[in-house]
Amino acid sequence: MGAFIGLTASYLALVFGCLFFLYAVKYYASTILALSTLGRGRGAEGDPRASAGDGGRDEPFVSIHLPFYNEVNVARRVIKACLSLDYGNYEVIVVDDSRDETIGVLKEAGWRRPSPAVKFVHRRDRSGFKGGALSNAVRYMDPRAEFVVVFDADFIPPPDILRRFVSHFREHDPSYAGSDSLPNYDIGGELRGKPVAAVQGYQLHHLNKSENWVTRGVRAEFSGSYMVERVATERYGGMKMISGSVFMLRADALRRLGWGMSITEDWELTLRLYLEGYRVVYTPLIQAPAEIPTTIRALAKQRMRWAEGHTYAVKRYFQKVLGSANLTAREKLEFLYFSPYYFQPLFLLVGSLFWLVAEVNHRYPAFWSPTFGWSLALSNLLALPLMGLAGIFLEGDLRADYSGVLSFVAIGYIIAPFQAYAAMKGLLEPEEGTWVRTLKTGSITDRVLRLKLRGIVDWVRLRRGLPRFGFGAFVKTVVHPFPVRHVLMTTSMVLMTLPILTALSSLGFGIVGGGLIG
Amino acid sequence: MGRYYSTQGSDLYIWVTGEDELIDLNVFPSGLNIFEADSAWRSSQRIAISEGVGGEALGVAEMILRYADYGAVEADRDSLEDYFVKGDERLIRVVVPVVPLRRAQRRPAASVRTSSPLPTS
Repeated sequence: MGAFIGLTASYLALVFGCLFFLYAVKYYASTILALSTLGRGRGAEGDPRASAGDGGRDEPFVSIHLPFYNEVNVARRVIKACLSLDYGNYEVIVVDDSRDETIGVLKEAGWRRPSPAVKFVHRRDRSGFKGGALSNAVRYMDPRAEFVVVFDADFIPPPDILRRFVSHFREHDPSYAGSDSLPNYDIGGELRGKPVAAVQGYQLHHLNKSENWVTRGVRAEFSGSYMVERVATERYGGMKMISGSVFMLRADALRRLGWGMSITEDWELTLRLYLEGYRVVYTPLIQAPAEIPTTIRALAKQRMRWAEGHTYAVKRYFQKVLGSANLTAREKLEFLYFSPYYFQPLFLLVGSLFWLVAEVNHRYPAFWSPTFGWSLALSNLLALPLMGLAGIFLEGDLRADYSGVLSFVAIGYIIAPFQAYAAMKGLLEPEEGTWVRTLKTGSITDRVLRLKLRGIVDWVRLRRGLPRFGFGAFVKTVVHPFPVRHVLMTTSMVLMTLPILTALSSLGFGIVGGGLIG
Repeated sequence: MGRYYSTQGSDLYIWVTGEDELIDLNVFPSGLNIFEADSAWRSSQRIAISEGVGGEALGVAEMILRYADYGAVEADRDSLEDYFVKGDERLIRVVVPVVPLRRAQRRPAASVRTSSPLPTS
């Protein structure tokens, strides 16, 4: 009986472990790529291109959309921030579905000013949830608007954010920047002629990062996602998501396509934009601080909504995306990676549990060696924490915030079953569920307006084509004397290749047998 | 300059032109449900719009507006919607001015004439 349990567990561990390992490989590769992309120069604050500005001349009209639902704790803060932007040609539209005292904030006379114009649009119902509210904003936005920027209520946009967005758009979109604007990762010219629909900035979840272990963990998670994973995706030209807040969209595309009514309206719009032949670009240079859910319960609810809506949209658009001629091979590959995205913590959790059972029973398939099992488990377990560490390192906060990585791992395990359940719902149910809001408290424990990112100057240089990414750049980075980066990159490389080498060894290829692995 | 309101079915439009400031929306009692959570409404610096206002509430709102020197005007709905979206008062097209009798006896309600576009100062 013990042998049967052990053997079954080892096979299941192998299946789930290998499934997660596909993600782990991407995380390690992203870590190496991001560390080689960012971080070779001296720390710099912000994007040097935006500081010059254009003195208010030649500023396209921007419409800022703020979707509210019971935001009394943060409403005043975000409206004030949006009215204090260093930009001359914009409006602010608050689309409100509130049932609480937020209404009183909107009716305050202090918001009435000639410039920028502020419009409040209150609905008596929540039809279409955030997508429905944002559709209303599109309906009532000034026809002069060339761009739309969306912020959730808990964000505090810094004064220069619109200038940065416009500057970035102009640099990346051929229709704004001329023929030399294609990114240097466009090997083979696949992206030529693909207009930019949106620029996604960095959602800096830092405002209450020191509040408790949950906020520290989520802060580490976001660092991994925004400083490592998305930076790498931008480098190799994969599909990038619009992520609900801190993004600028071309108004003409939005008018034509409109917002969907999904509970993950951002992901749905991303897919529709790509199907229309647009692309999304990401930059860590544009940042807006925001707060973090403070309890596991709030976090689980938020992630369950994401998981359900995301998977539902994948199911709905799967064939269209894979069959579309408007997406590049790399974008489709990235979509495939995104498809079971919210099942991956479950792969890790179940794979690790079955591996433990197999280890206790000492029963494995013939091709399985204990070294392979341990190396696969180790590689899988450390992929996300290492990516989080690299993200925090690139933000220059490693000493202060490294402990958040442990919370991040714990949170991953705790919410994995909830996420997987919600993702399964999205996959199987004929209709999406309802929108569950994430309560914003307005709490600020860490006042931060912008990160001092490491090597921003190098990111800009890379965007402009100097130096190009390649083996030479990688070697230059690896041999760079800075020890933390060196350690992180080497560790990523070792952990990424270890299971592959030990598997080959187990299969009798003898590559490392008796040598490196022993 | 001018302060005006117009009812279009059960929808209430309140707007100002020139240097005038829009009425504080808090002056409408919450019981009227005109600019509250349970009503659909919009506002900007220059115009406030409430949709589906009940008949009785509309009467009370008109009284409040007249008391605040707002003049009743029959205006083109689309032009008022344009005013909300674009903020350009030259877009407002007045169809017929409505001058309440009692108010007219005291003094003209508003400097509105049958004209298009609405005079702004």
